[in-house]
Amino acid sequence: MAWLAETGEERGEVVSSQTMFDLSRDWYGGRLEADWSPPTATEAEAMFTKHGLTSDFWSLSPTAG
Amino acid sequence: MTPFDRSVRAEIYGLFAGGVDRVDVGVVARSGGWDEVDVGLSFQRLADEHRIALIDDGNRVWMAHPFSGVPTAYRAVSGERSWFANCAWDSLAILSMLGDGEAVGEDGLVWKVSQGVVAPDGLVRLVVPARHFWDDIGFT
Repeated sequence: MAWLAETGEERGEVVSSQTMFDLSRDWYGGRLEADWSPPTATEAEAMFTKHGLTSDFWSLSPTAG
Repeated sequence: MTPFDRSVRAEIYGLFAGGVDRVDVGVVARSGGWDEVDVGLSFQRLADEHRIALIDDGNRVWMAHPFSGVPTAYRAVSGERSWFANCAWDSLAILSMLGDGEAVGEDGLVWKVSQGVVAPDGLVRLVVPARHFWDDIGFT
């Protein structure tokens, strides 16, 4: 990508805006409710996997990467 | 989270969702009918648990994801209402929570969200891996 070459920035993880919106419905679902609890690492990774986010970037294991 | 911390967290989120831009200890205490000292201590516990991020010596909410408590380049706009978001993802996330509208970002970027469809379908770039999101949440 020309922008990366021009700026020297790292590519990181690039995801479609539609996927990020779809993920948000799960990731932020219930967040306004008093009884909301954060997902466990297992639950969070299941959300990522559900939306096709399966690269090491999305692993929550401290030993990943 | 303690039951009180759950209530404080929900109050924070309710205030942001309702369109309050600046959410601090005083605002939450008045809104919830609570003592400011108790709310301040709750703010710190919530921050320690990464439920929120704080500024102004812990007295003000900087981030209650996906809402930003400070002006940023990213906004979600729905009808007459708008909210500051922490990043492009969060601008989309606010709309996923609160309804159709536009996610507005840097350099005039605008994504329209209608009935679950984002148009145009652009790209979001993330640099910090998920397991390191909270290492430096401001940078993330």
